[in-house]
Amino acid sequence: MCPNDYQIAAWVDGLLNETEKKEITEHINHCPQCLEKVFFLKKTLYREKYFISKKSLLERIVVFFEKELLKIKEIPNNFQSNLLQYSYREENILKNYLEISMEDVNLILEKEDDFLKLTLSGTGECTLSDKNKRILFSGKVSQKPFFLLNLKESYFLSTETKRVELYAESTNDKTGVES
Amino acid sequence: MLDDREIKSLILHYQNNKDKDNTFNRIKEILSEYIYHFPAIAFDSYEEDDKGDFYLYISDRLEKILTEYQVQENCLFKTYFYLVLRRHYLNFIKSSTREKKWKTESIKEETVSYQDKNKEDENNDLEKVSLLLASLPPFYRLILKLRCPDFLSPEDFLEIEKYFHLKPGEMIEKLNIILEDIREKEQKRIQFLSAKTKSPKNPYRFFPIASPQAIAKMLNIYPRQVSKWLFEIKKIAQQKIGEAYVP
Repeated sequence: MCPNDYQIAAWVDGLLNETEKKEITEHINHCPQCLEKVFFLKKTLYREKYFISKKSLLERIVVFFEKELLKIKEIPNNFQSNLLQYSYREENILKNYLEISMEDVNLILEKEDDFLKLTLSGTGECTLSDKNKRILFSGKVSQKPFFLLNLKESYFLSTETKRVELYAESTNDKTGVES
Repeated sequence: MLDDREIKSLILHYQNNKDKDNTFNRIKEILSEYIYHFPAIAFDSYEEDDKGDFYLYISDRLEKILTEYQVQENCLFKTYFYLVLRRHYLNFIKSSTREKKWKTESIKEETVSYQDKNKEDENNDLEKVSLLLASLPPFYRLILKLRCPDFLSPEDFLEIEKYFHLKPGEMIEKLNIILEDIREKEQKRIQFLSAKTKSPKNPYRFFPIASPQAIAKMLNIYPRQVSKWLFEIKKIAQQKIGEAYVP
């Protein structure tokens, strides 16, 4: 008799005692349906990491952007409040990315395990450098270059008239963008 | 990621009618990503319509799923939930025209945005491996699938038993050896590329591949034997598809 789904799941999770494990393994050796189920679980649990966000990182980024917009609005008149325009839609959380438009240069930020993937696009030119002023990229963004940013560092992206800093704050463990 | 303790505690609250609406909404919020991406994760179905429709399909049934779930069982909620989603998805695609659409739609990559040029390369690589698999004798086909585990299917474990006299159940358990090997290599690759000054051209493999060492460990043989087989596959590839290609 086939084990139930709870038992199959526990087998995959490695949470059975030796006797139960041995019994179910022996059953799987001879049952194509159960073999298919455990294979399905193994593969799915492995593949999910490519799809499911580490929500804490992405949520922090999104929340920080929103806070930044509010902050910009409150700054006095000599600060250009339209420096940073971004499009944020609810489904972006599910798609794990955020888009920011800086006139003719667009930034797409995506979660990649413990890194932030930055993709540049548009028609303009920009310079990307790290906190030590080492230039990582300089030129037109039409080829859509992309980078994996380790957010233990700070990075600066500059167009002709705008500048964005990408960083993580270690005190609050907060990640965000500031212009 | 899904906190097993948290979700089980919430489900228990829900089953005990404690602040039922809010608890249900919180559970739904936690599970939404897993439900939404499930067609892509488990069945390579990337169509937004399918994902959205399946999400609604499960939303209608989620209360029943949660009510019937036995919290005291000894498994992680997520693992069990994937089996539940699988069962529902198979019913979902059988309804009306879904099955036909699912079988004829081609696979599309969409969760990670590659440069357009990379997308063409990715499809080429997938095609090459598929072509190669079709041209190989059964034994070498199996070896290549172990090298590229994305192409593995449950039936291949019966083949492993046939050639290596290793039981399918034990081999499925040992599949972790290959998957962990791939995970480690990818992590190192990403870390290496992030340290580079120039923007990487192709930072990602379009599908993960396992090392000969990992395959050998899984099959309980020497790595040099696996390397020998991969070399033979390369020679066959040269003959059959005109290119000495092995991922």
